[in-house]
Amino acid sequence: MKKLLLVSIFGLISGIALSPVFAYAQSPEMEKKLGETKQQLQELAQLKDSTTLPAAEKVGQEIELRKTILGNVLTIAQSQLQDIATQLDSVTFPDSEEWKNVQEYLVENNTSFLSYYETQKTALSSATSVEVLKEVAKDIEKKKTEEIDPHVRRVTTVMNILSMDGILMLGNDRRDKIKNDIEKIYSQKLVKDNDLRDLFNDASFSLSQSHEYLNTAKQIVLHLYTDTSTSTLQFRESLKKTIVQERNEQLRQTAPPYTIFTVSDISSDDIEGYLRSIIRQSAQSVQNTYDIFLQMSLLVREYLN
Amino acid sequence: MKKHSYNIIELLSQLRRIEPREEYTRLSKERILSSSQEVYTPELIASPSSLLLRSSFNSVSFALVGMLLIVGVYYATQQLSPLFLPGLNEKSITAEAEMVESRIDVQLSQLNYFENTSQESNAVLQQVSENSLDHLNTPIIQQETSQIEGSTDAHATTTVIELNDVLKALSE
Repeated sequence: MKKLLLVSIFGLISGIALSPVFAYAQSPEMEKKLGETKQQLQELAQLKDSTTLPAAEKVGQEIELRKTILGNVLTIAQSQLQDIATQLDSVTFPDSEEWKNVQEYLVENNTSFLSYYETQKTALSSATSVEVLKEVAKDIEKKKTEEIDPHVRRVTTVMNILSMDGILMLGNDRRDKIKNDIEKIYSQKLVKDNDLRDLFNDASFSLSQSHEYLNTAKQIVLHLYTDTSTSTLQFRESLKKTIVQERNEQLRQTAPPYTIFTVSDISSDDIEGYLRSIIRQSAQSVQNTYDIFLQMSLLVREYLN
Repeated sequence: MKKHSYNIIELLSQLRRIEPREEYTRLSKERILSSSQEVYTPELIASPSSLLLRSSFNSVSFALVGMLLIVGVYYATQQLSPLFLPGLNEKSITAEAEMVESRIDVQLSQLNYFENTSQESNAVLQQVSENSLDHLNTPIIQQETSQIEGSTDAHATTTVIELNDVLKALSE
């Protein structure tokens, strides 16, 4: 019971401190809309198959149904961007010019995509044929896949980084407290062998690796999530080289034949994938750190009882 | 010369017999007795309430000093006590580790989702574009959804795949 209370208090405080954010915060309302949309698609399929309706009426109904479905899709897509707008507004970015640029870049893109959807809604309402409606759907699908979804992924990545930042600060504090305890333990010769000290060094190293990974991730974001500039291009090129090196290294550990990667093979998606893998490694390092901390606390309990 | 020569000794012996006049004595005595009886003692304040304040102030300050001493000693012993190890407190580390774990799970699930998305939405879109509208892909979408590893976000994040599928279907 007490443990539960402790955990929940910790959770509450840290939850507020670390402001958990999701790029796709899905409200039940939108969930419902999505369900309706899927149902309506089936209706459309049935309508197209139908042989009982006269042609003109069939077309008329098809237009209405297509408009409804597309309208719903736009509403759901808009609500996702609106959630992002709220998050970008409420989350605290690190206090620097570079981070401010990143925030502005993301906000500007988000705003422009929101108005794109609004434009499409207007186009939708004035459409009078199935062909036009197909074109609108095609346009939205292209824009969404090529520009808007990558934007949403970028926002999620940034939120991940900011959240990890908070977690690492917590780790630092814990490490410092434990350091004091370790010094006390050894100065008072409460423990003879070096177990605790070794574990502490392992945990320290793990935590510092976590920081390194996260700093690399931050550098990538700061250089790439802004309007293009010379420095960004240079950074992008050198980053591609790094990715190529890493991939070729991995390849060499497999059996031939294989084709060596070159810089021209590396796409934007690949860079994003690389960035996510770095954040993942940072997260895994900090998990490892806390595992060691736990081990230490259990060991101390053993020693002192 | 003779007049002044009555010798010094005689003069001194005369001086020994000096006394104030009776009247002067009486007057001086009266004057002294009638003057105010203030005794100059800087620490003592005349009124009784300020006396009480004075003494209570003293006792309170003694008590405070005493308390400070006790508290100081307590903390000193705590700091030096071998069992006071706030950093390695098992309960607080466990609570913190669990919280960190759940925060990181969220991060990792989001990061992994995007890997799944890029692979699976391509597969789904391929299917959607190859098939006609009639075979539209609610069953396929459901199948793909179940392949995405369970996470707190899976529910919310399948929306992207599904929306893009719907758009693709509507453009044919």
